[in-house]
Amino acid sequence: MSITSLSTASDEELVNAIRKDDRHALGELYNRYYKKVFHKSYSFTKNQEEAFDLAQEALMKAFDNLHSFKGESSFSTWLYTITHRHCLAALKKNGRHQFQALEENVTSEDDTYDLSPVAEESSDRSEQELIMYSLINALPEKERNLLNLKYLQGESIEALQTQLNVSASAIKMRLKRTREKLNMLYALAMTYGLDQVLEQIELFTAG
Amino acid sequence: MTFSRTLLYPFSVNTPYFEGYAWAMELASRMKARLQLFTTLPHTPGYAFPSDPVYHSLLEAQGYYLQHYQHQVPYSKEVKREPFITRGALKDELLAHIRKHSIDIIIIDPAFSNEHHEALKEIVRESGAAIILHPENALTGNSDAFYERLRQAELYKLPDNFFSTLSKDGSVFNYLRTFFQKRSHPQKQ
Repeated sequence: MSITSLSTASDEELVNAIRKDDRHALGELYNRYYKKVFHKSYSFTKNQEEAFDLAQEALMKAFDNLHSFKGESSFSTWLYTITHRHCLAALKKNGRHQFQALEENVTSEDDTYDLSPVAEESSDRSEQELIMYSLINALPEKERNLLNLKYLQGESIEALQTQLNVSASAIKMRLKRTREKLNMLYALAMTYGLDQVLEQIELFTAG
Repeated sequence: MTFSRTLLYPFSVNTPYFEGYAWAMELASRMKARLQLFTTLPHTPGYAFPSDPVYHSLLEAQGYYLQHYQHQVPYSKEVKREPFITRGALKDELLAHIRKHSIDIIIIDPAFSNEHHEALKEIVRESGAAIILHPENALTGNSDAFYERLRQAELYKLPDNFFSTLSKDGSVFNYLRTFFQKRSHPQKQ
């Protein structure tokens, strides 16, 4: 890949070039993301030195495992997922695990959430993510569909507006409430156990 | 993994340092040493300079190292990097750091030695050992380049076991083989 085309190449094109041992492509892709990965790590640690350590580890982990990137999600989502998991694992290891608000999953670039249960590293799926998926599945159908449409299928607010025939502000409000509800359920599940929370949801919806 | 040796690489984000960083990383990797990355922020009363740009710069330097030096997967060589970012004058803070920590070798890159030429003697005297790199124009990033830069560098007080430690690194053999091949076929150079 020529130097001039590097800056206009998509992430996925750069990944393919790296697989063919293109060092310039590696430099370009790395430079696109190292700051974002640092800031994502910082959002977990609130400590710059720890964020630096975690960011470089997450970046190396991602670049070491580029062969496992199959393009089922965008590269940025894949990279942020690795960073997210790496930070969670590190905090857990240090006994500093805190509940991560769902907002932490927002990627700064495309404002989408990675809700895909079939992420690239399915074997490495964390306990926290399994809990989150179970809770999403336990949500009332309307809320679950809204989350899926927005964050899994990537529908825009405008598209949802047309689809659901409500105003943009109403869509945003519903999304906000659903996220907050999910965050609360997640915190409860982490504290009291998933089974107990799912049981309570079932009782509540049946009643 | 435990790191028995400690290398120190002082740098300033205001001067080019990526090449020296990459070389120091390579040395740390070959010696299985930890690498301390030392810099300072200006000390201005009433204003705290943010350290984000330093961390960003170090991550960028790591990208440079990956691109130019580290040619094999896994990229994550087992080098423990420890940033030390303090406030004050670089020379004074660096000397204080060297006196406080047990440093086996300090690596000085050309930009740093130009900037702090007057202080070099004192820094070398206070350090366990020192390697002062010379400017290098051509960057090849292969093993030959690593040893070529070592050959050109000024070496001070290196411990007796320095080269025996490096000799455990397999690429030494490849370098020596190429070196002797060049010597025995000078017309091919």
